[in-house]
Amino acid sequence: MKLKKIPETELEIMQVIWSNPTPITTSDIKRELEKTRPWSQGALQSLLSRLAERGFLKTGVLGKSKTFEPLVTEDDYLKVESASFFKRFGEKGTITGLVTALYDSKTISEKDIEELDAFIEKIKKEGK
Amino acid sequence: MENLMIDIIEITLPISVWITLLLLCAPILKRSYVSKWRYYMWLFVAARLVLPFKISIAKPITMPIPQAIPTAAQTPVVSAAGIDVQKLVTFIWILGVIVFVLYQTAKYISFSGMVRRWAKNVTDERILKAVKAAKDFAGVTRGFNVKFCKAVTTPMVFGIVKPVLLLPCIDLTDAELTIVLRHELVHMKRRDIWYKLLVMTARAVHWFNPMVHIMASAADRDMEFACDAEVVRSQNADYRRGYCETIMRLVHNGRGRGTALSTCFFFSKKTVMDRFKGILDEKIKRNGIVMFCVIAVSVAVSGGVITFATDSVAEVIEDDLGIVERPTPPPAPTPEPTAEPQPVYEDDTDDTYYEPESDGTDDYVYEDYTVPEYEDYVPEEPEYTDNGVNDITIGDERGSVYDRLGEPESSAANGMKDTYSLDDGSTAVLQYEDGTLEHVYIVEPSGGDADTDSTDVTADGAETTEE
Repeated sequence: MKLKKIPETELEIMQVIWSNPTPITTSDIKRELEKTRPWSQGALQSLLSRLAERGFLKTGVLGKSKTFEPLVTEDDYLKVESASFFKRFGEKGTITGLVTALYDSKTISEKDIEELDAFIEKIKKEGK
Repeated sequence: MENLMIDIIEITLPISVWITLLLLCAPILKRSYVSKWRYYMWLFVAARLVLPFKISIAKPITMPIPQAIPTAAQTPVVSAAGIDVQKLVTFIWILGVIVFVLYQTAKYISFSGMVRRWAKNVTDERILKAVKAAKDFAGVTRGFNVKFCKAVTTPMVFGIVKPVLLLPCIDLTDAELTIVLRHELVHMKRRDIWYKLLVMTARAVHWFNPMVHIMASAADRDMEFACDAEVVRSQNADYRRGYCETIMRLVHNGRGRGTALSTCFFFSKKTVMDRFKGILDEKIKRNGIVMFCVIAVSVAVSGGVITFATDSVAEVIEDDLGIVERPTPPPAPTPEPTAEPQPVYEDDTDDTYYEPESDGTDDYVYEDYTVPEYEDYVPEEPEYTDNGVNDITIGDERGSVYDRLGEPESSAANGMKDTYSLDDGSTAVLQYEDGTLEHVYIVEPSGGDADTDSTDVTADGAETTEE
């Protein structure tokens, strides 16, 4: 399944769903969202059904209310989103030249990581 | 516009040589000098690449370039082609700059959007306290936001105008937190994002020069080395080991994110390894301030020296193409107070006609050639007869001189010099500027005595002679 980028408002909803125990009811989602700003019930419902249509959510029923469960984990979605970012700007170096990061996260292979790990192990032993 | 292109090439070539030299020397110098001097060196090089296009100690002699003289039939074709090539190159360069800037801007905006989507304010007291402590450590005084961001895997500072400190969503111990925050806040203190912006501007302007891009990578790397050095300054071996382990932990956190993990030139395993070694190295190193100054001055000046050379090259090329017919500049006059001034005038009757020396490759004559003035000149009383020349004064109107001396025997082609023969066989040359008398020279007849007397009329009307 090909995931599309979630628009900003819908992402807010997804983040609530990801960070709370699921299945979660519409009213619970609304309560969580309104910690930051007021939401209209109608808008929330239509956004939720759109997310479900696109395959991000699974709907269910709990008693009288509709419940939602994520079909995509936050990590998986983030991977897709950042991968699309790197696909668009396929530079192997930094994300943008204008950040100062602790280290450049995109340029080390698994084999390199093993070698660096070995070095760290070595200096740890020397320290003891 | 074409000149701008020449300016850029004049900068890009000598600075490329410097970048190469600095890169070649770096591994040797690294052993005994701190990384900070290289960090500043690149900053200086980037500024040199971006800022004033010409700094020269010896300003090239600027000669007025005469209008292009079309020579025969081939000229229009060749000159048209020549102009087109130059315009085309300039156009391509501008296009490249625009593409580079747009690409970088798009990347920045896109990343900024991703950060905004995924950033959350930090409310954890433990982290805010650690940030405060790191702020004091680095000496940062301005305010900034601290946010958790799921889209990043390593702590970073982002934002040109309003910096924001982004932390990845992983649990860090107090010790790890201290280290990463110190590292980031030292970056913030040094305004390293502006540094990077300057380097990026240099890349935009010199996008066609691979050495500038290599320099940018080296600057990024040395910026990290210099930052590490500040964080571990006067810290013990345990702290340094902890620093390495923290970096390694974040390297692990970043794996799997993104796609192709190919290695690029500088940010590779070797860079991280070099950083570890740099962090663990407790040896006290020299700061290299003298070396920095020497190289900085050389870099600043080298642009100017080559300016001269490339100008000549450009001229030669243009001459070869037959675009511009250009005179060879006359030999620079060597004004020595004791030397006898060369009479300079054109006269049909006199054979002391002066022509600028040339190698014979062109026949351009400087009609406007001005005689050097001699300031150390000692006035003396005149000792010879004249035909009323003594009565004329500097500043006299040409008309009133004609009234007293009569019509001149000859005038130079441009009408600036009149010549009178005097009774003693010498010749008086009167030089005018805007219709008023500027100089009077007395010239002994040629073939006579080797001495050539020159007489100048001083402002008070007294005529003076130099022997």
